[in-house]
Amino acid sequence: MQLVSEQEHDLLSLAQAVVEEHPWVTVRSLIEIPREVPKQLAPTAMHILQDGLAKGVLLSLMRLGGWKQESFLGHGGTVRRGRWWERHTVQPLEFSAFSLEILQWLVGNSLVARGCTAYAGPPMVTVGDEYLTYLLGRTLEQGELLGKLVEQPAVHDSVLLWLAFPDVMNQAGVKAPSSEHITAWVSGQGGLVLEALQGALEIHWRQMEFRKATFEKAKELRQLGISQQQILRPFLAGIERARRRDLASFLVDTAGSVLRSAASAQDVAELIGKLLERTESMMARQQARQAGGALWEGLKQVEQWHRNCARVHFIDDDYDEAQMLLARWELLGAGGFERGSDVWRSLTALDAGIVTPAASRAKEEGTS
Amino acid sequence: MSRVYRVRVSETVERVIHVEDGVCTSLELLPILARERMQELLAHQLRERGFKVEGDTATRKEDDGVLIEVDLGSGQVKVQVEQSADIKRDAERTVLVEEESAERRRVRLQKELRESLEDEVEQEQEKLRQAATETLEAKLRELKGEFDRVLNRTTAEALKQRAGEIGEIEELSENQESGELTIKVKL
Repeated sequence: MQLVSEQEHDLLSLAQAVVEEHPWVTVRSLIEIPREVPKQLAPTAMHILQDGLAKGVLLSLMRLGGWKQESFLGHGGTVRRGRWWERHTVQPLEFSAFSLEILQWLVGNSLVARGCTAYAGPPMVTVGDEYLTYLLGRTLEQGELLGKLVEQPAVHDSVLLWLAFPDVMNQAGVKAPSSEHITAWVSGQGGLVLEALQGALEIHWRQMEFRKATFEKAKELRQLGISQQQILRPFLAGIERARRRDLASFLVDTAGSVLRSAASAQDVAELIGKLLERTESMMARQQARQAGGALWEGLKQVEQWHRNCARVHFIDDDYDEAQMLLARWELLGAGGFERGSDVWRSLTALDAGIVTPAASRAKEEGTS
Repeated sequence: MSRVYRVRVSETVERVIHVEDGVCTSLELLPILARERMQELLAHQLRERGFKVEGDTATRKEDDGVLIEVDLGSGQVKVQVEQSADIKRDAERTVLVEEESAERRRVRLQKELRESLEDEVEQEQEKLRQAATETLEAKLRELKGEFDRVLNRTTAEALKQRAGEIGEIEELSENQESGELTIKVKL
């Protein structure tokens, strides 16, 4: 048996709860009640933390999407198919002092109390740090405390937080990463993590998409749409430059889920801003709905890649990569991309902001 | 013992209010002919529908105050409505106050009265803006169909010209209602 102090136990419990994604009810007291923080961990506790993080984050990546059979274009143009750990020679993610200090900050503070002390430790350095921050984000989101984390300047460079929670990052006034930063990030271990997280990102984006049908104020819808544009534009440019267009698959999957949930592209477009107040100006409503169409605007870029892939011949150098992408996006297919363009066209049409009788009926039903 | 005063204040607020609303979209013109020629065909169609073309811009002012502006180069369409009104509101209030606080109460009452009138003017402005939005909504329903027809006609004319360039037109049939166009060309 390995013995640790009570304070070390609190910190280790929090790390375990975050990495294993325990339900909020069990994490809540660790986040809300400030505890004494061990300034330095004893060798036993440090070993448990390092070992737990190294093994735990890999397991978490498997759970969040690494288990899926996918294809990957490796060096030399060979396509490898299998689960994430079969496609890649997985190296354990490394953690810097940031990971320990951000956990110490969380244990020593009460995020619900006024005057919560700002995190003053070192910034994120490794992809492991960033992935742990993303998991922290997922945990804090359950307790609606994510804003407290993204307020900390040390996490502002996180590509993962931007991709998963663009609205919260935008609300905290964080600047979106540049396409150059994204290129560099996905070219390394970040790309591998993102590859495993495609399914998780699809869930984040699908939830955001369905939330767009609930806004009554044009400003709120516009803000969410703008935040999505802020990350999508550099992200798509960044992954194209890094030759990792497969990392946009979560957008294709989100579009597929949303299109399948409605009868037509027109219905999907009408869902965006369905409940906007009719008393707001047309200008405000139109701007909100156009911004709210960020997913469909981004999908147009992926549609172009899809079209280009279909034109690559067997004798061309990029044939294997093109075939891999075509297979990955086959579920949506050319017809789905076309319907996606129709959604965007409906959102930008001259009469886009007009409240249709169907939408007005839906609103009445929703409020009655 | 202090005396009681009757304080009467009156206030007038007069404003010229201006409200506007508008939307903006792009026309999707297919690149059948060179850009300049597509632009000419579009300008021709718009002229036929009462637009005034000056340089790269076609405009039409509707009777209900809606202004439609088409940028022929970029295909961007702006539809705007502007309305103005003169609003005058006045009010008077009287209160009984004690001598010592008379001046203080008078100043406060004047301020409250002014704020209340300003609120009324703001509400009027919002009503006027909502009326402008309703006018715009009604107009946009009509305009959507009109611009669809403009695009169809421009595309049809461009196809005819293109067909004439690549061969001799042998047969041409056109259904104005459905927008269907069949051209047989002898190469």
